Amino acid sequence: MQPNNNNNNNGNSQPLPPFYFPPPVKNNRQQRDNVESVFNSAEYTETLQVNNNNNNDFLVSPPHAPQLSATPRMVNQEVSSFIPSSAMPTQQGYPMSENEGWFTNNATNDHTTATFDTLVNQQQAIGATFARLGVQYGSHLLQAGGVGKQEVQEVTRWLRLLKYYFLVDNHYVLHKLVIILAPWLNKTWLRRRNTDVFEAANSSTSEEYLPPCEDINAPDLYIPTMLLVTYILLGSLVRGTRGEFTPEIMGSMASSCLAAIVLQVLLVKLGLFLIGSKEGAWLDLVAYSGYQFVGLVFATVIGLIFHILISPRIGSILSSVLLFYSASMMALFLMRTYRRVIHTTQVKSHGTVSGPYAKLDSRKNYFLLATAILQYPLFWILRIRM
Amino acid sequence: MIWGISSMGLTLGSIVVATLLVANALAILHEERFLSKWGWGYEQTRMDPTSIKAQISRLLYAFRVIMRVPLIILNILTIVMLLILG
Repeated sequence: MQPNNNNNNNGNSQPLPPFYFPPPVKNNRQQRDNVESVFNSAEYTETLQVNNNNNNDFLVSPPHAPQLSATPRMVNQEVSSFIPSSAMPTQQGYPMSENEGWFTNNATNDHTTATFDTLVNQQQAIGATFARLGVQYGSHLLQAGGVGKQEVQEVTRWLRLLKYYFLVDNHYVLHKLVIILAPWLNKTWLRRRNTDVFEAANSSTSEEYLPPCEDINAPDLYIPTMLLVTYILLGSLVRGTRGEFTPEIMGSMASSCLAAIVLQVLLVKLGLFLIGSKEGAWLDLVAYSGYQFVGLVFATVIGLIFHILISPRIGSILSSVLLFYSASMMALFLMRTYRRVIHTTQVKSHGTVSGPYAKLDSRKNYFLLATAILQYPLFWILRIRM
Repeated sequence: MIWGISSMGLTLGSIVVATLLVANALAILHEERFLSKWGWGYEQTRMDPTSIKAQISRLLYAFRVIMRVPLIILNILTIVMLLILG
């Protein structure tokens, strides 16, 4: 009950919903299915929930009783809305198509509540409450000292930008990993834009695109960071199985991986500049380059398994084959991604690609080809020798 | 130390040194003795400012004019570091 007390102490005049701790928030897809079951009969609810647990992702769904009463579901509805959306308040007649497949990018359409309060689940509520307390206290102190809210906002601008890249959830991470290893499964490569006028008018640094938890095509920095560390640990493990591990190896592997990312970001930035595109934020490029570790980790893990279980020779051959495969997949993924980046810029500045801009087409193709070809040497350099 | 190869052959230090060397190489291309004769001069880009040649010429011009002093500083730093650290 702490968040409730703190909010009331702050003079927050909005009455919160009954804030008993709801069950852990599931991903959006499960939430949509649960809400839909309001309008079906009671026994259907049981089968629907069993169904949902079966054909949704491989996450462990929290054990909870099927919710047939109104109040818990209401709380869950408000809990699941990530953005203050002015979408339709109820879900009557919403055409829910369960067989749209895994990779369609329609997570945001499922938000149903029209609340402007952004306390959305218990972790975020507690964090946001304390953050609000801290910011209020700090700004009070700062105003006494002459530094106002504007300066604080300026300084924390980078933190907010970074925060955008780490807003991920399980659903996004899983789908993104599968897409990187098998890019043909993705239906659309467009990123969803932020159409929330309320947020854009209020905050000075509203982003143009939706964050990763609502958009499968958004770049994030969580996956690259985690996979970088995983890859370094994996390399140490492999060297350890051969008995030649020293702590220096971790440092040198970290240096190589970071150097690969830096190199790739610089080359892509140069390429985008030569083409004349205006998009291409640095952190976006860092994220796209960091996704190559998905393929590296995948190839190394499977190679290692075969190396230990079956035979060392098959392990190393398989590891090379999978390395080539994941380099190709990464090339494909990057080609599609950068094509979207360049197209966005073209639409912004030129309009249509016609006569005098036909050069742009061939330049764009050369750039994409160069990015794709760059992957193979990079993967070869970064590989772990079995 | 910087020239030393790690087990992977690609380190952050090697990237930094390589970038510095490439920047040096771009900065010493002489405008009137060399680039203009081959059509890559800065003045010759006025015709068609959006072509790749024009953009590369602009890049070279920027390196020559703007990056001269920082390159001097970076070179001095690198030389001193290499002298001290071997």
